[in-house]
Amino acid sequence: MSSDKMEVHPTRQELLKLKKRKSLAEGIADILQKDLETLIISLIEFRKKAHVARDRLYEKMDYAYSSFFKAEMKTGSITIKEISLSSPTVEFGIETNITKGVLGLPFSIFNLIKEDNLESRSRFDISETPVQLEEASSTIREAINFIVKLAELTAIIREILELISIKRRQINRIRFKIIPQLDATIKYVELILEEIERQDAIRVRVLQRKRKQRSAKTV
Amino acid sequence: MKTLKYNEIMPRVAIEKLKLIEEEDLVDLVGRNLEAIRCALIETSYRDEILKLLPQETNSNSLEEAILENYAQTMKKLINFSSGNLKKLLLAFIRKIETSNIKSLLRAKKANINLDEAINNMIPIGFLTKDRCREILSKSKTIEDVMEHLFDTEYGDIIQNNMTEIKTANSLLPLELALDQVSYTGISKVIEKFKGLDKKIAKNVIGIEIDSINIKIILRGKAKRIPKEIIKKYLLPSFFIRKNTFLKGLETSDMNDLIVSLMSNNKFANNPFYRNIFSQILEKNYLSMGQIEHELEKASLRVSLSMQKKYLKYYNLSSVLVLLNLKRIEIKNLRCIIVGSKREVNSSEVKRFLILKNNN
Repeated sequence: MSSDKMEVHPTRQELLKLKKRKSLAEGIADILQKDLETLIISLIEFRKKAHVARDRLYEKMDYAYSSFFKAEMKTGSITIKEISLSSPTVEFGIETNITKGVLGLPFSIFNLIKEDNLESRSRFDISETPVQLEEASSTIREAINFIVKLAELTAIIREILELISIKRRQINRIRFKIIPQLDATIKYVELILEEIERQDAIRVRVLQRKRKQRSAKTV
Repeated sequence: MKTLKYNEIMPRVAIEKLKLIEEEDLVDLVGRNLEAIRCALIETSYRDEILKLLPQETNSNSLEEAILENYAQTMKKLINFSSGNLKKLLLAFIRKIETSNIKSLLRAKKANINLDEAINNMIPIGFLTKDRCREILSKSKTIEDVMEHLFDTEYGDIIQNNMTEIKTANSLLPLELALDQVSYTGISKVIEKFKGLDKKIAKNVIGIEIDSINIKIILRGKAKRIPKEIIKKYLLPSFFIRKNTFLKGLETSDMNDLIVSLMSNNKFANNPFYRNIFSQILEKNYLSMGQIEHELEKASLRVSLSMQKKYLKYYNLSSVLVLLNLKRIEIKNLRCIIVGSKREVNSSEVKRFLILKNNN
């Protein structure tokens, strides 16, 4: 980490400015640290939610696949393939809204848009298809809700992670670059000022000695 | 039909019955891999069809194709040895298979399924031979082309009548329902031609099969909250229980209420076979639709077995219907075992899905 000093005039006024900047930088670093902690807490919360959604999704998919295999066992795999692929497709849409989340961060909210009359009709010939195929189909539709929720949570988590990395970079920049740089500059200015003071003191002493010698000669 | 007419077919029925796989042997196949199932099937009546398969090309689809081929051969043999109304009834069953082959053809085209795979799924009997199906599918680019190829068949009118609806709704369901209606109406008409005991047997055995499907349709429709008007369209032409009785059943809230409502109908309540099967379903108080459907699937077999037991003294239709039911169920069970093996489904789960006559 570089702690090169800044190019400043080594004046007392500049020193005051530098000290003010340093305390401001420390203040900002504290605020950023608090933001970072808040973000990490909300990240943990969203991660928990995503974990629950993923578990539910796996549960649903598991059930759907097992129902699908049962349907295949009842009617034959090619027949089920034919029925499944030739039945009317179910159209889904995703509506995206933006809402303000933690620290005013814009979060994308995904809403699944389903067909209105989806439940009021059967996609398959009831007399020919086993109930397991209907179960597999409706469970997959339920699973889509969790897929959308998971996508929403993943997007939010990604947003938070991006912000966390920005905040962390900002904090690091302040703590390990700006503050050390200010410290070095302050130290340098103080050193120069001390040096100037020392030279001034010597100059005063020399002048005083010369003045004493001159007065002794005249006496 | 006079009992003499059964003289020729009864030995064939007896031979075919002997060829059926024993239930214990069938259960033994559960959990085995496809190669083991293939080897076991070589020792059964499926030998000829299985031997046509190359061992390295054995997969679930080819095994399914072989057992369907065997089913078609059994049907052909029975038709060759039958005469009169029995032959007409068997031909009506063939027309039912033809309609499911037509449905398969249309679905395969709509789903863009590989030609060989689609052909494997056909039961090669009736006017739709495998070669004809292959020709239709390879020459057709769209479902409309497939339908045009079928205009010159006896199903041409039904297909033409439903063509616009298929195009507008982008669904094959209206045509599928119309084909089902035609095939079951055909069976009903043939049954009406039978006389005496044969008519009674046919009405009971095939009637319970259709009524079970109608009960399944009502239950499924109600579970999915499908409007009554739409459920009515799905109902098959029942000739034992009147459609009105089923429509009353639509007002009920669950399976038990539906059966109670059906049993309040005199015709239904006075039939010992119906009463026996449905009171057993009520007693067992099934929870899932899958269990109820599984039980309803067994109904036809159970009625045919009871009828055969009751009228054992004379040659009659019950033996033929028992054989048809047993063969159909054997095919279903083999399919279940093959798919279960392919999907590596737990053995106990596969066994639960088998329809066994001794497992009531």
